[in-house]
Amino acid sequence: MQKLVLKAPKITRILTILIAAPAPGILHAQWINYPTPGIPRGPNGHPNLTAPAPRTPDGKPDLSGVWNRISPKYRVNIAADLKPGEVQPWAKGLGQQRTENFGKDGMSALCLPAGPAYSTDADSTGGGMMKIVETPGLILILNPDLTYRQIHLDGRTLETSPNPSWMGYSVGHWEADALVVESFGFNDRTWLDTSGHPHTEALRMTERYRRPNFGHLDLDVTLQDPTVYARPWTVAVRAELAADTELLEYVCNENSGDREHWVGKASDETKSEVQVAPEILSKYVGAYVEQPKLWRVVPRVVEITFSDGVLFGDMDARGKERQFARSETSFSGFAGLAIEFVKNSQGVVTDLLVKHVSGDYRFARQR
Amino acid sequence: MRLLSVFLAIFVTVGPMAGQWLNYRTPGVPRTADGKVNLSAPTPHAPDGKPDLSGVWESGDEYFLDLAKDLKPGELAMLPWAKNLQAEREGRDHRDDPLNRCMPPGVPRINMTTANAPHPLKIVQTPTLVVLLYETSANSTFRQVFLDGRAFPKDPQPTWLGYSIGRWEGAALVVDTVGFNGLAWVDTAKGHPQTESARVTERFTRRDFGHMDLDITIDDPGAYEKPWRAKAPFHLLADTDLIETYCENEKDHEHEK
Repeated sequence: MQKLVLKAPKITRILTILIAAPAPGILHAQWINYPTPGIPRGPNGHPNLTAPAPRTPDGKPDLSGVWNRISPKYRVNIAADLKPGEVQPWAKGLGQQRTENFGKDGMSALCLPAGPAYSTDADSTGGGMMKIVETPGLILILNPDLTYRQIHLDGRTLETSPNPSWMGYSVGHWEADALVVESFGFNDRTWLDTSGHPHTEALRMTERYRRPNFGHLDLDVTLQDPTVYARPWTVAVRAELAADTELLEYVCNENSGDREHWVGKASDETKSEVQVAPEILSKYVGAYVEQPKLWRVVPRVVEITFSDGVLFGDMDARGKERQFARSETSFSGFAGLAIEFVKNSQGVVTDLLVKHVSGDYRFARQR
Repeated sequence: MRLLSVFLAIFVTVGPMAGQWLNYRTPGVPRTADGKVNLSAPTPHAPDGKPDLSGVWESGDEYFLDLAKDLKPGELAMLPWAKNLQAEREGRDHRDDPLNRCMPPGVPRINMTTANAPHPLKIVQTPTLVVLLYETSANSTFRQVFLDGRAFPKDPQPTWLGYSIGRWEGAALVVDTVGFNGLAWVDTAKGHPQTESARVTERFTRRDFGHMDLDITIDDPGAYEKPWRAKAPFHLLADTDLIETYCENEKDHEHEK
C-alpha cells in the first residue's frame, strides 16, 4: 500500500475526496434531460424560472421539485455571522481539531447522514441537491445519498424527549406562503458544517421555506443550541430549481475504503512553507471571480489580502484563511486546495487558479 | 444460526428499538366502535380516484430469506452459473451478502421483512410520483416510482435500486424497474442472483384497508431460463411510523469471513 508523503499535492488529493464525495449524483444523472411535465416554458422550450410559483389543489404553495441549494458561505462555516465570543471555547476547539484532521471523521467520510446540515450544506459541485415531494399531510425531502426526511403536517407535535436520531424529527405548518418546519431529536454526532462546528442533542432547528417564483426557493434556517452557541441565529440559504433532471442513487459505502489513506494534518502545510518577498505577495491583493461560474450557482469569489507580511485568502466570505507559499506563485491554505497566481507577459497578475483533483478552476482578477 | 446472528448484529448496532411517534393516532383512518383501526374497511381512494396505497406496510414473514419459498418445482429455473453461485452463497451462510456491508438490499428484496429484522415500508402516493420509504436492515432509504409518463432512461447508469416507472392497471399499481447493477441479491438465505439485464415487475393491490398483495415477476434472462413469479401478502401497521436505521458496522464485515 502506498504511503502518503505529507506534501501539498497529496494533501490536496486527500481533501478532494471529501469535497468531491457528493458529486457523483450529478455527474452521471439519468433522466437528466427528461422535460419535467408541468414546468412553464418560454418559446424556446427552456423552463421559465421567473413564472409564478405553483400551488397545490388545496391552495398551498407547491414546493415540489428538484432543487440545488446555494450556501457556499455557511456550508464551510455555519457560525460565519456569529461573533467569536458567541461560540463556546470547547466547541471552537473541537472544530479546529476536526479541521486539523482534514475532516476524516466527518459524516461524508464515515458514510453517515449529515443530519441538520442537509438544510445548509451546498457546494458548487451540486452536493446541495434535494427533492421536495409535497402532499397535504406529509412533505418528503429526498437526498441523492438515499437519506430522507419526513415533515409531518398532520397536526402532530414534536415529542418532548425523542430518541436521538441522525435526521431528527420534523413537523411543519404554513404561515401564509411560508412553510415553517420545526425539528428536534438530533443525535450529537453530526457536524453543522464541513469545518466541524458541533451541536448537542438539545439542538432545535427551524426552517422557513418560501418559493418566490417558479425557479427559486428561499430557505432561512434558525439554529438554537444554547449550551454551545450564545444565541439563536439564522443563516440564509437559496436554492435554484434543477429543472428537467432527477436525483441519482449515490451509495457512499461503495466508496468508503479510502479513509485509511487519509493521513496528515492541516498544520503540516506550515512545515514546508517557503519564504516569498513581501513586495511579491502584495501584488496578489485583489478580488478574483470564477470564470465561467461552475455548475448552476452564483460564481465563487476569492478575496486576497496581505497584512503583517502574511497572505490571506477568503473564499465566498467564509473567513480569511492564511495562505502558505509553496513557490513565488503557488500557495495552499484553502482546506487543502492549492492556488496559483497567473501573470500576463507584462508581469501583471491577471488570474488565480484554484487547483482541484478534477482540474484547475480559473478566477479572473476584478481589481 | 449464522444468518440470524449477522442480522442481529446490525440490528443491535443501529439500535432502533425506541423510535418516535410509534403510537401516534393517525388521523383519517376508519375505526371500529372501540377505536381500533378497522382493517377490513374498504380500500381508500385518492382524490384522483385511484386506490390509495398510502400507509406503513409489513410483508409476510420470510420472503426476505427465500422469495421462492412458495414456488413449485420447475417454476424457478436458474441458468447453470446462477445455480452454482446461488448454492455457494447458501453454503456460505450468506456472509457475502452486500447487505452486510451496508449496501441497499436491492429490488424486490427491499420490500420484504423477516421476524428477526422486521423492517416495514411506507408508501407516499401522489398522482405522478409514488415514493417508497424503507427502513431496511442496513440504511434507511427510498425509491421513486414515476407515473408521469416518462419512459426508462436509455443506457442508465447501473444502480442498486434501479429506475422505476409505474402505471395503474385496474386496482393494481404496476411498477417496472430496470437499470440494476447486478450486485444485489434477490433474497437473503438463498441468495438468488440478479444481473444487469433484470426487469422486475411489482404489482401492488390493496385488497381492503388493512391488506395488500405484492405480486412480483422477475424477468432476468442473464440468470434464469424464464421469468418467474412470487407473491407476498402485506398487512397495514396502523398508528405507527418507520424507524430510522443507519448502518455503522460495515467495517466489521471482514470479521465475518
